[in-house]
Amino acid sequence: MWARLRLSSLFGLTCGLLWLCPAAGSTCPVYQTLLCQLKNMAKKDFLKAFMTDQGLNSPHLNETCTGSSDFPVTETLKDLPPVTFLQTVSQTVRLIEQKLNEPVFKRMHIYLQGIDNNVCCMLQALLPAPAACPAPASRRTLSPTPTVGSFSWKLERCKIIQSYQRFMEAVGKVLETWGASPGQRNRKRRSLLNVLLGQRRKVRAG
Amino acid sequence: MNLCKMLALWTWIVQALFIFLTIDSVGGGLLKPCGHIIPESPVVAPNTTFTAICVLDEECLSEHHLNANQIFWKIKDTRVPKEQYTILNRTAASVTLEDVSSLGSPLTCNILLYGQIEQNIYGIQIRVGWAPEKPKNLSCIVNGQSNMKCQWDPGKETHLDTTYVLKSEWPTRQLTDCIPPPNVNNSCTVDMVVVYVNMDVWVVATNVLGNVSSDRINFDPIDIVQLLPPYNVTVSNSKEISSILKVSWANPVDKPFEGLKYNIRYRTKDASDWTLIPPEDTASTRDSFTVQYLKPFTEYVFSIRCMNREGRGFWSNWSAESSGVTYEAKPSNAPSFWYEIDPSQGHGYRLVHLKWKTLPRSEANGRILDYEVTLRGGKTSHFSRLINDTKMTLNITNDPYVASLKARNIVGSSDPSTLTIPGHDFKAAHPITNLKAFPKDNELWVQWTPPNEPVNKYIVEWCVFSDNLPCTPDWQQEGSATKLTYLRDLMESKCYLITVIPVYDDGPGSPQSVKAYLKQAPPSRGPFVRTKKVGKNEAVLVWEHLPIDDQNGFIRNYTIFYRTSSGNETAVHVNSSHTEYTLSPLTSDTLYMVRMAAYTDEGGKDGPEFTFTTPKFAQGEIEAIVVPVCLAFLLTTLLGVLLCFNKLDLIKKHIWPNVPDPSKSHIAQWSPHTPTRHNLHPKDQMYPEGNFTDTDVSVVEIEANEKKHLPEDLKSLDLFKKEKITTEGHSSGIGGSSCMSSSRPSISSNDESESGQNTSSTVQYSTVVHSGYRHQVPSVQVFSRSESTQPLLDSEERPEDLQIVENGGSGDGASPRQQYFKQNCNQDEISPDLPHFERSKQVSSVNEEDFVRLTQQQMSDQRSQSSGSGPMKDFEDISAADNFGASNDGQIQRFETIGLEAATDEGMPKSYLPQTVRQGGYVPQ
Repeated sequence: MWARLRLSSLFGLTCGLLWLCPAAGSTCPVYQTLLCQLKNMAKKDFLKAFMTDQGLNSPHLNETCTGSSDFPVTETLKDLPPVTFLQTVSQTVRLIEQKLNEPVFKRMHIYLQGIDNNVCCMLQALLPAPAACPAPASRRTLSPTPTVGSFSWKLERCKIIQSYQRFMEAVGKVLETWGASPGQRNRKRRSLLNVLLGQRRKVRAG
Repeated sequence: MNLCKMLALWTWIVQALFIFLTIDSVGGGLLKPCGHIIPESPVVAPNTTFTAICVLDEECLSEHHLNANQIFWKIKDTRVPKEQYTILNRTAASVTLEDVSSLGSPLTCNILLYGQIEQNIYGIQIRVGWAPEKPKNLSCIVNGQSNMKCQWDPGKETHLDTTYVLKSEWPTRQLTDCIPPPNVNNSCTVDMVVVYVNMDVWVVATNVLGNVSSDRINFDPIDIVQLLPPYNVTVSNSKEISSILKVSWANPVDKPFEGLKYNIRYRTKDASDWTLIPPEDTASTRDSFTVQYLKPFTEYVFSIRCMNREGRGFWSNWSAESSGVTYEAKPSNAPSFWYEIDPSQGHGYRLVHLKWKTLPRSEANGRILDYEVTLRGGKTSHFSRLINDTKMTLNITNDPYVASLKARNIVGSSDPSTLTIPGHDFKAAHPITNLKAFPKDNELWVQWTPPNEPVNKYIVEWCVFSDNLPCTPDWQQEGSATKLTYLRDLMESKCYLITVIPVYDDGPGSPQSVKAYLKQAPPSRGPFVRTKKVGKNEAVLVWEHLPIDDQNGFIRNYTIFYRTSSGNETAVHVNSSHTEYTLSPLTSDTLYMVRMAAYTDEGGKDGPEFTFTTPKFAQGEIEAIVVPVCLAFLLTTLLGVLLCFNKLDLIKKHIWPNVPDPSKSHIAQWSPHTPTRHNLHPKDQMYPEGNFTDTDVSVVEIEANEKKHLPEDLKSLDLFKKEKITTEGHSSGIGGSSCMSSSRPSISSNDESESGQNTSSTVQYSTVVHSGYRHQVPSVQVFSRSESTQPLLDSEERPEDLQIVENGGSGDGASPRQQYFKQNCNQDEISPDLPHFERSKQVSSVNEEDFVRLTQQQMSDQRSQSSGSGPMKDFEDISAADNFGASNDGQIQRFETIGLEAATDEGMPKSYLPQTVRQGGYVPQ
C-alpha cells in the first residue's frame, strides 16, 4: 500500500512537472548554448529596418525617436542577480511584445517570443525548480494608440523599438559578463527591490 | 393591368408549390430504402478482413414479410457466397470479406421478394487505401532570414486523402503548424522562423486509417541558414596593371546575422576548372575583391557565394557568373618562324617563302596589329616591312640571310624570332637521332634525341602520307630544350609523315622523318590474293601490299584462310613484309577457297575470296609415267627384235623344218672314230667380212702338207676330205652367195631350184643324218640313198680337182678355183686393211675343220648349252661391227656375221633359207 502510494505520488509529481514545464516535447539547450543564443539575439537590430520601411530614415527623426526609456538600463541590469536579471528581461520583453502587438511587427513579435523562450530556458538552467519561468504576464490595458500608419504611430513605435534596442543592448552587455557556466558569475548581488529603490532615488535626486 | 399580372404570378407560384409538394411526398415514399449498411463509407486497408452489416427496417419487414434470412450480398454483379453471411437477428445480417481490395465496389445488400424478385436494399462504396507511413528523412533549411523549408519522405502512396502537417515547437511553446499547399505531401515552408532559438520539428501524417509522426529533429535555425547568394556581381580591369581584375557584388540583405564570409572562384572563359581564391582572404564581410596574377588580355569568369562568418549554416548558392577581361600587355613570345625555298628561279636568285604562326591568345597578350619582318644579308643589307598576313615571299640572292620577325599589339612588340636562311651551297648536317612517334592520350607524340651541337629550335613538319594526295606539310616550332612534343589537329586512321628539323645558327640541320598514326583502325579492305602457281599438293599465293590509304594503320601481319568446300578453314599467319606464300600440303584435284586478311594493331579486314583447284597430277608426272613406259615398250620391242634376230635359227627351227645340209655330210663323221674338231675361236676368229655369206657353211680344210695320221677307219674319208677342200672354194652353204652364183654348179645342198638351174640331170643324194633330225640322235650312223636331184659334189664329179687339192694344199699354191673363189668372195685383195681376225679366218680354216671333226659329235650334245651364250656374243659382235662401219653394207655384214657366228657356235647348219648376198645379189637356192 505504501509502495503503491509512493508510485502514485511519483506519477503525480511527474505529471505535475510535465504540466508545469512548457517544454513538454522539446528540451532546452544547455546553458552555454543559451547564453550564446541570447547574446546573438540581443544584437538584432529592428530599428533600422523599421525606420527604413516606414520612411523614417533621416537623422533628425532618429533623434526624435530617441527618448527616455521605461526599461532598465545597463547600470541597473548589471547589478541584478542572474535569475532576477533574466526575469526582468523576460518581463520587459513581454511588455514590449504587448506594445508591438500589431501585424506589421509580427516578425519582431515572434522574435521577442524567442528571446523569452531562451530566457525561460536559461532560468531553468539556473534554477532547479521548473517553475522558474515567469508566468505569462496579464495583458495590461495599453493607452489608446494612434492609427496604424500615422506619423504619430510611427513615432511612438519608433520610440518603443528604440527603447527595446537599448534595453537589449544593455542585456547583451550584461550577458557578456556571464561566464561559460552558471556559477562563474561573480558579482555583488542585490535584490530587485534594492535596485528599484536605488533607481527611484536617482530619479528623485535628478 | 397590374392586378392581372399579380394574379397570374400568384397562380403560377401556387401551381409550382403544389407540384413540388406532390413530387416531394411521392418521391419520399418511393425512394425510401428498406434498410441500410453499416458502415456507411468504409475505408479498408488491403489484405484486411472487412465486415458489413445490412439492417432491414421494421416497416419493410412487416409490409413485405421479410426477414434477414432473405438478405444476400453482391459485389458489383457477383453474388457473395452464403458461407460468408451471418444472420445476426431477424432484421440484420452481416457479410465478411477477406480481401476487399481484389473485389472492388460497390457492395450491395439485396433481398429476394416473394422468393423470386431481387430487390436492392442498400449499397456502399468501399474505399481501399493504406494508413500513412512514418515520414522519413526530415530536413530543414532556412532560406535567407525567415523562411524555413522542411522536406521529408512521405513513404508509399496511401491512395487515401492524407494530410501532412509540419509541426514545430520551442521548449516553451508550441509554434504554428505548417500546412503544405495542396497536392504537396513532402515539404512545407515555415514563415518567420526565429534564429538562435532551438526548436523541434516533426511531421504528422493523417488519414482515415490513422496518423503517424516522424522523428523529431531539434536544431537552432541559425545552423541551417542558407543565405541567398551575393548579387550584382561585376568585374572591372585596370589599364595600369594588366594582371588584375576587381570583382564587386552586393550582399544579401535579408539575413539573420551580420558577419559573412565568401568563396570567390574564377576561371578563364574557355576553361572548365575553377580556381578558388584562398578562403582566408575572403573571411570577412565585404563587397569587392581584387584578384591578382591573372594573364593579360584574358577573359575571366567569376562567381561568389557567402555564408555565416561563424561557419554556421550552409554556403549560399553560387552567384550568377560575371566575366571581365584583363588589359593587354605586349606579346610575351615571339611567333613561330620558318621558311621554304623555291630554287627554281633565275640565275643567282631564289624564292624564299617566309611563314609564321599567329601567336596564341595566351602569348599574344592582346590583339596583334601586325608583324614586323626584317631581312639582313645579301645585296640588300637591311629590309623591313610590316605585314598583317602570316606569310611573305621574297626573291633573294643565293647569299645567306638572316630574317627576324616581331608581333606587335597596342602595348608593344614581342621579342624577335630570328631565322638564318643559308646560302645556296649550304649543306645541312647534324640531324636529330632516335626519332619516334607514338600515340598517347589521344595525341600523337614525337620524341627525339637532340644532336650534340647546340640547337636554336626545332621545326616539326607533318603531312598526310597518301598514295593519292600530295604531301602538304603543316608545321610547328619547338624550343631548343624540347625532346618531346605532340602534334595538333590530326585525323585518325591517317598515316602521317613526320619530319623533325633541328635549326642551328647557320641554318637548318638534316631532316629526319618517321611515319605514325594518331589512331590506327582496321584496314579498309583486305588484300586481293591470287595464285601464282598451282601444283598438285601446293599452291603459290601472291598478293600486293595494300595502298597506304586503305591500310589505316601499320600492317602487322597477314592471315591466309583457306578451306575446301567441305573442310574446316585453316589459317596461316604471314609476315607483313611478304607478298607471296606457298600453301602446302594441299590435296590434289580439290577446289580450294582462299581469302586473306590484313591486320593492323586495331584489327583486320578480309579480302575477297579466291578459288582454285589443284591438279590431279603434278607437273611432269604424266611425262614421268609415259616416257618410261614408252621407253620400256620400245626397249622391249627392240629386245624382241634383237631376240628374234638372235634366235633366228631357233625360230626358223620351229617354223621351218630343219632340212639337213647335204653339203655337210661327211662320211668321216659317221665313224665313231672321227677325230676331235678344233675349237672355234669365239671372237677373234670371226670370219672376215665377205668371206662367207652362208651361215650354214661348215668349212673343212685339210692341209695337204700336214701329214696327219688318220685312223684307218677314216682313211676312207680322205677322198671326201679332198672334196671338201675343193668344195670350200665353190660352196658356201645355205642361201648361196656370190661365190655360188657362178655359172658353175654349186655343191650347195638342198637348193633344188639352183640345182635345177645348174643341172638338168637329176642326182640322187644320200641323206646324211648326223645328229639326228630334230634332236633325234641316231643310234647307228646309217647311209641312205638320197632321192635328191641336186648335183653331186665337185669332188665326186671331177676327181682331178681333188688331186690338185691334195697335192697343192692350201696357201699360196691354191688352185685357180680357189683363186677364183677368193677373187669373188674374199676381199683381202680388195681391202688389204681388213681386220686381222678376218684374215685369220681364212688362215685358220684348217683349224676349223679340225674343230668340225672333233666336236661334231659334241656339238650335237652341247647345242643347247652353247646357244645360251650365243646372244651375248651376238651383242658383242654387233658392237664390234658398229665400230667398223655404219653403212648398209655394214649392217648386212653384221647380219651375216651373226648368222655365221650362230652357225659356228652351234657347229652345224640347220636350215637353208634365202640369204642376203653381200655383193648385193640375191641368189635363190
